[in-house]
Amino acid sequence: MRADRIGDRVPAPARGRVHSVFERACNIETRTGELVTLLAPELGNAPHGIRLAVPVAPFGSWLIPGQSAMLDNAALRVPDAGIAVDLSGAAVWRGAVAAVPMGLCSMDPGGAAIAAALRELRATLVDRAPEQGFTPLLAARASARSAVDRAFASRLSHTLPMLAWATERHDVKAVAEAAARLVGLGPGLTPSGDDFIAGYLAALWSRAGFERDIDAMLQALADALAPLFLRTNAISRQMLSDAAQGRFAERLVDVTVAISGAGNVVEATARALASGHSSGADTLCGLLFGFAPDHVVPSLRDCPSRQPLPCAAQFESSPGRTAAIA
Amino acid sequence: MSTLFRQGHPIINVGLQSFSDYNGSAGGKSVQVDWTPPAGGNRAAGWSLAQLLNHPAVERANEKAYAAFLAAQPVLAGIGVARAQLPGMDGRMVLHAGPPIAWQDMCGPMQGAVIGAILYEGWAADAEAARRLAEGGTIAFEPAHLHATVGPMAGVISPSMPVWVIENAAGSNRAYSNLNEGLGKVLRFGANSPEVIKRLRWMAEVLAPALAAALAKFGPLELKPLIAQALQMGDEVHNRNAAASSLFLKKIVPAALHSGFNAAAIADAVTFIAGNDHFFLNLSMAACKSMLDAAHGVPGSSLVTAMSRNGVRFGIRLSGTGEQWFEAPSPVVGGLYFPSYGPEHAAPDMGDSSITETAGLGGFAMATAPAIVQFVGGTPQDAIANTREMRHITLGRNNAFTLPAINFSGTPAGIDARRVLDTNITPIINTGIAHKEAGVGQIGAGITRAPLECFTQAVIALASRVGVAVPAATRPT
Amino acid sequence: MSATLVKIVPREYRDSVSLMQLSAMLGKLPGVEQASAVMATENNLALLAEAGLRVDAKGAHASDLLIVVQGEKSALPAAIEEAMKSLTRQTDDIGGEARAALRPRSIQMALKLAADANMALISTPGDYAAAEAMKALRLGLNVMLFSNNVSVEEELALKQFAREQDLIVMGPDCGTAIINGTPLAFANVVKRGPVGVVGASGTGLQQVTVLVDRLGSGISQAIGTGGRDLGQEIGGISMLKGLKDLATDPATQVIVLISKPPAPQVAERVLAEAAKAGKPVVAVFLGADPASIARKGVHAVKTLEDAARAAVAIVKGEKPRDSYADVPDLPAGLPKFADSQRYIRGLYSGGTFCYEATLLLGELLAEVHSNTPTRNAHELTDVWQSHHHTLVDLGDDVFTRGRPHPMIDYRLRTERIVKEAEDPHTAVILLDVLLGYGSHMDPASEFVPAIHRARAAAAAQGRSVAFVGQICGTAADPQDLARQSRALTEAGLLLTESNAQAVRLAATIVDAGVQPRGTH
Repeated sequence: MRADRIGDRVPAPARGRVHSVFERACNIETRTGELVTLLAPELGNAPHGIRLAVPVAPFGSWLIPGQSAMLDNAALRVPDAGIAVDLSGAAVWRGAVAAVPMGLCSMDPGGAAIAAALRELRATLVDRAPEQGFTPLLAARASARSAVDRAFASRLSHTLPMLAWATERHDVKAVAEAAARLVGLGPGLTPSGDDFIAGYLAALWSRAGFERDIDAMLQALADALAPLFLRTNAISRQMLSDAAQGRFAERLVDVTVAISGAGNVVEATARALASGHSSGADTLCGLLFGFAPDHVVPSLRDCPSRQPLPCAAQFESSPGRTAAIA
Repeated sequence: MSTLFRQGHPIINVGLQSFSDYNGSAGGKSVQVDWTPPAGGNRAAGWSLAQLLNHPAVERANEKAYAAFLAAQPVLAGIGVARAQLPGMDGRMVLHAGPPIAWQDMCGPMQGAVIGAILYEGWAADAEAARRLAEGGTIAFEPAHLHATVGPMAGVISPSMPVWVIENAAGSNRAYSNLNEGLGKVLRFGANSPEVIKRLRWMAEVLAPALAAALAKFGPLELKPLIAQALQMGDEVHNRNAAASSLFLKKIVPAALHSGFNAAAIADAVTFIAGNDHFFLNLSMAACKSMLDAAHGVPGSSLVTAMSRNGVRFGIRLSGTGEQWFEAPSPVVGGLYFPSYGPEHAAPDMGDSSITETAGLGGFAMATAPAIVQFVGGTPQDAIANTREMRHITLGRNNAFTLPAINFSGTPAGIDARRVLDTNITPIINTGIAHKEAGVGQIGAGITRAPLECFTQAVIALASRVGVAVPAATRPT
Repeated sequence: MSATLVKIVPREYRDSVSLMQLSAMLGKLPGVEQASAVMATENNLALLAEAGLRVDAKGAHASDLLIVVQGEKSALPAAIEEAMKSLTRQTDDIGGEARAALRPRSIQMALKLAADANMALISTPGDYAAAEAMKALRLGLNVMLFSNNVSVEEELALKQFAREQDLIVMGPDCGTAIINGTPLAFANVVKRGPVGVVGASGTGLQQVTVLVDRLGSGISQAIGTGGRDLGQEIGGISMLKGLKDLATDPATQVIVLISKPPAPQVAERVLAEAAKAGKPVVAVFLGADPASIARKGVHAVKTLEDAARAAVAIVKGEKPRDSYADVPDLPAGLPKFADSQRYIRGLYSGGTFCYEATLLLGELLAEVHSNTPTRNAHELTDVWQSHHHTLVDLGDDVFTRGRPHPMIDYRLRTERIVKEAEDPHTAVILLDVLLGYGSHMDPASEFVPAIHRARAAAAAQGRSVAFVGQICGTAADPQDLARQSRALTEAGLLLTESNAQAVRLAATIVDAGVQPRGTH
């Protein structure tokens, strides 16, 4: 068995145990509490991921939680399962997002392209995403089928404006407070709130390349968020700590690359949506929110406290344009 | 809001595959049903079936019946004589395998076995006289199933034969079976020569008393744990009983030795059992009969409680349709024939032994006994596939019997006649093949399927009992 | 008063799809109102409290699975048991191999792979279709029944059962539906939007949804009912259900109803419900006088096109304007007809298009013959032979016996086009072109050569024939609308936006050709 890609955050050497097994993925918990994920080739890589080069039988047929595992630079071994994954030929993969300049005026060709990309992302989400988690919010579909759904929607309706506001002011403490209300929240193995936060952080890391304030905020945010991640399960926790360090899953990275202009947004989005039941969609909601909160929470658009975009002023002389922006 | 408008839910596509493809290219999700006309194309049965699907009365009845089936605890209580033990067995009565059949309709091996039984009972002096007696109408022929009894192949049991007595410790029913004679020239394949009759007498006079003494010493023997253990050792307890027979011997020999019974008799008995890898088959069958009878008689239930063949007709019974049999011609088995024999020599499928499949063993537990699929040139993967396929027609899995080859999951058990009809997946049966002429014996072994027609009739009958309407337009013309 | 029961399964990691399927499965159990299977994080526990569920989850950890069921107290333990069973069932097998091993053979089996399915699309031979539909309904699924040859008795049994279960049966013989933005069976790819449609006719539904899309709006849902739904026997069960569903659907702002004139009591019932929908309703009952349909809350129109126009106008807050009487401008470059060339020959693949054309043409011209006759038109005695003005539905059973529908197989139409061009009485050949899933993947490749052959045949006898038609399709359809339009226009087919416009243009052309002769 051979791996073709290995995430740059995979620790080596390390010892641990099989933690959880799914059909096409398996987590190994190291003694230091990190989760390394062994992935089937059709899945995107992850910062802590080792991706197999060729398809194998469903993981559940050969891996069982509790089996001990050993990892070094040459191989990942699970002796009880009789496997050794050869890592010697695996390319190191670094799950860093593409830089996206959000400060550009929407009349600038680059700015217009990014605005269009975000609209495409949103449209694809509305069109294809499941009716669970954050996406119904986006489509303004009141899909509250149960009291739990309603409570979920209500919590988001309070928390997301708070998060948008805190982000805009680069207020680390307030961002952490809002995030605390989202960690571990909602359906899914990685609860929807966790996926959302990961996506949100991906957007901030994308913006940080061009926005010094965001960059500064991210450095402080990693420390502020770390204790919150203990409030969710180990799988989410690994994803979120990687995210706080600026490391993300391949499918998500691909979407940021597409938004930056180097790929097809609709295709990248569709691929990202395929992960989990609603995980992909929730992550992308977070991403969209991190770039443009009003795309996710339409009510923010009418928020009077929102500062006008810098370029709006330039076109104030043109009444049509101003109307369109206001 | 209408459930239809919920976003992102897959559709189930029944019919044109292209609709699945369109749906896929348009961004939707769908699951394609690999559809064939249910009930083999019988419209009336198809409509009855549709109305019985997820029918509250049937679901409730099945729950009750299935719970009784799972809870049953067959225990080998002892050995007795058929006349004294079997309910309703008196006078000149001969029991046979499968659904009811008259003497003149019986296949060769069954007639041969009946003649043997008459000779054994001393009702006639020779085979010719026995035949005349059988033709004469003074002997009552009845299905063993009607007397809580099962027997392999011809399944012929007469009043003075010894029988195993199985009690359901979790219920109140008893089940019975005869004792296995071994291979070669034996009554169950229609042989009735003096050596056959002599062996039967020895079994009644020596083997049965020795086993009775051993059992009395041992106490009640729980059969489910023993079967479970045998399954771990490569038996499916229908066509392969090597492990179960050994396990049985291991339990019974010390008790026999300490029973104080005549040592020479015990030595003979043990030698006889040790020479017969199928000795346990009759116990496995009676255990299954015990579990299934516990589930029989729940009005509305579509659970199959018996599948059996008399060498001419294949019959099934449902828990919810009482004593009624639903029959179709018995199939000739495709399989591995011993040298110099072929399908042209074979009698149609015969015996009550498919009670094991009815209870989720035999063909249903094939995943654990890959040796069996060799009969039809199959592989261990085929064996697993067979077991998996049966999951789609059963009400659940019996976790008392787990299969190591598929990660210790329970055997698929409790055939739901509705599911058989809906999927056109018929129960798989591992079986021995008898020569069509009396007394030749076993000429092969193989794998066969229960005829769909039995399930079609059964579902129609159940629908009328449950009281679902058949609209005029779908009535057969 | 409903109760709540909670089960914590320690350190249980399930992928999200399994969790969702588990919740969906529990939610469908008898006596269960709602169910969720989520990770037992602090926030999820708080959420349950916010939702008013009293959950005692002491000692629960973020890595545990929390199963909550709410409903009738007596039903809850069984539901939890079912949940646990399903969890063990999932572990006791080797990964997904079992799925690969056997494709589902029945709806019940398919539901094991897709527990959250909400609909079955059934297109088996008609003899078996009703039973499959009944199974789907009994398993809690809505049904789209594409199959035909389902008896009225069966249809009624299905629809009555569906009504008891608050489900819908679309069909039988329902060729088109668009549900949640996904075209089903023979349907076009249209934008999503605020217009909801319920229709008893497949091509009628296609025409309206396509025009709504082209007019810049979109479709929330398009529901088919099958052609017999509004008859006396069925009583409009599916249309009433569709109407009710669209009335409560937040994404739908305007509702369009499409049908031939229903049985009078059924019409009353449907229109009474429509008036109560709380949303504007546009009704097109082809062949009925709009005045007899219109009432407060119900805007009645005469053509499919006007139904689409009215719906879009209402969405935009404009006043609907009927267009069916508009006289089109004569296009330039029309051929000069010979004296004998007086008639229109319409060759249709969509039954409803032919019927609508017959209705409209019957009002404009005398001596209209059709195999979908109306009050003002005669029954075509020999469907293989045109007579005066003739409109033929080539999708009629007479033509489709033993061959595919003319939406897929163009041979009958291409042959007939040439035949009509050879007839000295033919002035205009009228056509419909259907795009979308299920239809021919390249209609132009069939029609263009046929039109050329027809021209040549007419020219050989010193005549020239006009071709008029419409393409019922959208830019997003798989056939590439732009390319089809270009190829057909280049071949000389005068394309209009709708069936009604095509009919009017054909009539105008014939009129213009005839009148000058009259003044000679």
